Amino acid sequence: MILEAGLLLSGIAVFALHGSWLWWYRHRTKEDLAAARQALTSSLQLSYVAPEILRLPAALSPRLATRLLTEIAQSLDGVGRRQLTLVARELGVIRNVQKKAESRFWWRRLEAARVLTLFAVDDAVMLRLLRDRHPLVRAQAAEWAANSPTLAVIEALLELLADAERVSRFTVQDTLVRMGRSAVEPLGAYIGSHEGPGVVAGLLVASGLGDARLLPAALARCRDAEPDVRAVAARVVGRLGGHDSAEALIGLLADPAPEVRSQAAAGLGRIGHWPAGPLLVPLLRDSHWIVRREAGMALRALGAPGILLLRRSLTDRDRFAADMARQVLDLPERYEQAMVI
Amino acid sequence: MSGHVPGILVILGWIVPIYFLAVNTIYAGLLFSASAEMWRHRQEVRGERLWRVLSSPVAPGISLLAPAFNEAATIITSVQAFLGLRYPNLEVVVVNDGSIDGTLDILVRSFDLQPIHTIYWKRLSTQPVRGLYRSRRYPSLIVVDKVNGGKADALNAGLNLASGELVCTVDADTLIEPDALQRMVRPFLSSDDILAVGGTIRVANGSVIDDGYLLNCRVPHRLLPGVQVVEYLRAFLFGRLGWNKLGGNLIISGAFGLFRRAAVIDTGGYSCDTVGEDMELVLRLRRHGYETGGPHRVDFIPDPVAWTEGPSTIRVLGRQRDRWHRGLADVLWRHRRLFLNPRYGAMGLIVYPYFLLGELVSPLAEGLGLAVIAASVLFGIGGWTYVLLFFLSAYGYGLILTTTTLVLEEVNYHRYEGALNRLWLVLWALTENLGYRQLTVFWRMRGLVGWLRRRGDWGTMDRRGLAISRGNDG
Repeated sequence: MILEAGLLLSGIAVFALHGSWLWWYRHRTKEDLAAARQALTSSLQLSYVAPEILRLPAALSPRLATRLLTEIAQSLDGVGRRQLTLVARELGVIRNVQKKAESRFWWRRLEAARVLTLFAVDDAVMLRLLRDRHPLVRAQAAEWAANSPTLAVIEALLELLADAERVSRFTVQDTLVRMGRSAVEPLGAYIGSHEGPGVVAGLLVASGLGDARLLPAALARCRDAEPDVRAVAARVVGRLGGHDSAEALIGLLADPAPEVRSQAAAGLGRIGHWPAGPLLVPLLRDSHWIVRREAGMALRALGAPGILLLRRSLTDRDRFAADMARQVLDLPERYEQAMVI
Repeated sequence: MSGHVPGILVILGWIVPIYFLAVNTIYAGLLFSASAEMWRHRQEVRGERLWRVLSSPVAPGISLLAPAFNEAATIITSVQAFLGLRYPNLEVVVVNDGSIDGTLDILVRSFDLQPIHTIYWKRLSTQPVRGLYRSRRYPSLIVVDKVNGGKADALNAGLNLASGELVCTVDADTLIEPDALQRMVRPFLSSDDILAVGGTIRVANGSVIDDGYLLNCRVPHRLLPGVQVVEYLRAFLFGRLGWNKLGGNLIISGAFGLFRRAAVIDTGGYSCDTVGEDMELVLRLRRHGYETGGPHRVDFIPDPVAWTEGPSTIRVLGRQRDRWHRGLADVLWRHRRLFLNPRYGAMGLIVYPYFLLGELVSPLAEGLGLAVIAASVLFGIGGWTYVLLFFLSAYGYGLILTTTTLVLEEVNYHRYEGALNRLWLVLWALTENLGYRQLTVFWRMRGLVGWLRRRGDWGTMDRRGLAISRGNDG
């Protein structure tokens, strides 16, 4: 009973006192932080580090100084960010963070990666962290890479497209899309030469980039052994290709995988390849709803020839085909009034 | 016979405290696990910038499903708050479940809805859909008008129509913090094995709310909502978080959860014949994952927060707790093959048995304990020994865990600022066991009896709405 009472009172004391301590701490550091913030933001107009900035460490702890600098850095870009980076170097913040990047504890390496990303420094350290054993650290390094689109960085990112951890893959994909044109050729080479899960991720990036130079690689992947790869490749071809790509998509209309057939149908509709109309009609009888829907919408997208084929399908003996044709024809002419799920 | 009564009382006098010692020791294990999870989570999110999720073309789309029945008083504020959530690829699907108070008319007028035609796959059967609308002003807002079929039916109708890879189910009167979805989506970006994610729900009573946004977090000054604040903190910050590493969660609150849409549809959507439809769905999803070798993890993360109005009258609170326990009993019975079944891993061997023996049965044990105390006093047996044993094991130990939860909340989130708020929290934590808890025992036992007698209704939940609250008006 004494033990329980003791534990209870200790818990209440910690609970009650923590808030008070926090209030006292914030109150104590408020003025120093405000003065430091003022001095830092004023110094951003200069091309050198003002002497009063160098006196900041005396007033602020390294932790507070790092926190303040990262807080300000998030609102800056360009010249302002570069000036702040200069200040961070002079104050020793960058050096402290670089040491953390070598820590054996993942949370310290992650913290270092986040700070170094903000200040966009240290290609060597961040390239190393791209191969870190912890997925969050790799992901953070991938985020940094968006501002450093060098060939070495892009190639390191491409290797991470096959990363087993989704968080890392997601950030890599996002970064490659943000890199834009710089990533196109290496990505095309990667899609053409690699196998495995990284190819699907690479094709999704290609879809996001929307660069026609990726079309040959996507066309080649339309013949891949994996249905996932073929489906995404069909999607890319539909987005990037023209009438000369239709042949590849027509070849996928008879694919055994429904997701491939649906993407091929959607792609033909997007391209507007009206000669494919008669080849889309049989897909209205497909056993998978999504294939029937995409075939119907593709026919609608082909304009008058497609509408004619849909009207003929209204009397199709297959009631699913007739029903889908009816639903598509019932959609308003103005597309924004229609909602396709 | 009367000669055996003292013997029986002595035996029960030991069994009940041992039961509570065991349950509270499991709670202590959960608390330890929750503390470790919270620490790990804090390290992961510290310094994180969520802008990437905000603007990424590869971020998954989310459809927010909000069933609404007779929500005329609060629907505008709720929908505006949903539309203001900071997530790039968000679709808001409000399902008007046959309201008779003009909810649909209010929506049509306020959001400039126009009827739409659509092609969608009705994979889940529901009550008939009377019409579909989309807002001209807010194209991401869709309203489904259907014949009344209950919450589960409304959610299924929303699932049929939703286009997002993920679906977030909310109650129409839940306040979700603006960046909650950005945080909720993180586990799905981290792992392919995640089926669903739950976030923290807190009680908004007493807080300052304006236009659907929470401005100032305050602890209510009234007993019922005040104790519920403590209860919810305990339930979410250690009860749910602790299970992440110990076998995963069985419950994601229907008021705030994020699911893989395809997985929910593949398993048949929400069941319309249970009052515990949220727990039933999670169990069914996880079972399907184990049985097919697919994803089966259900995680909870502590920092995305939704606020809800806790019942402020005994009658309504009693109905709610009655319904929750009925739902728990019903769902555990439906999925009884999980019990100690190694095929379902930790879920069958640890999590399910805990919910059966530690949650479902606990009101019986506690009721029995109180009865034993009363009988002991009546028969003059055991004196204060049993009373002390019972209170130490059932309430004292539990109070320590509650206080530790408050410490976790204070150290990690510090949402209740000011000494006065902290004082109220301590007060409610201390007074919870002086009558309130005993009332919940009665309600939960009533729920169990109700399940045994096959009651299936929801009861009426009277709500004032969270649109505007000046704080501590109840």
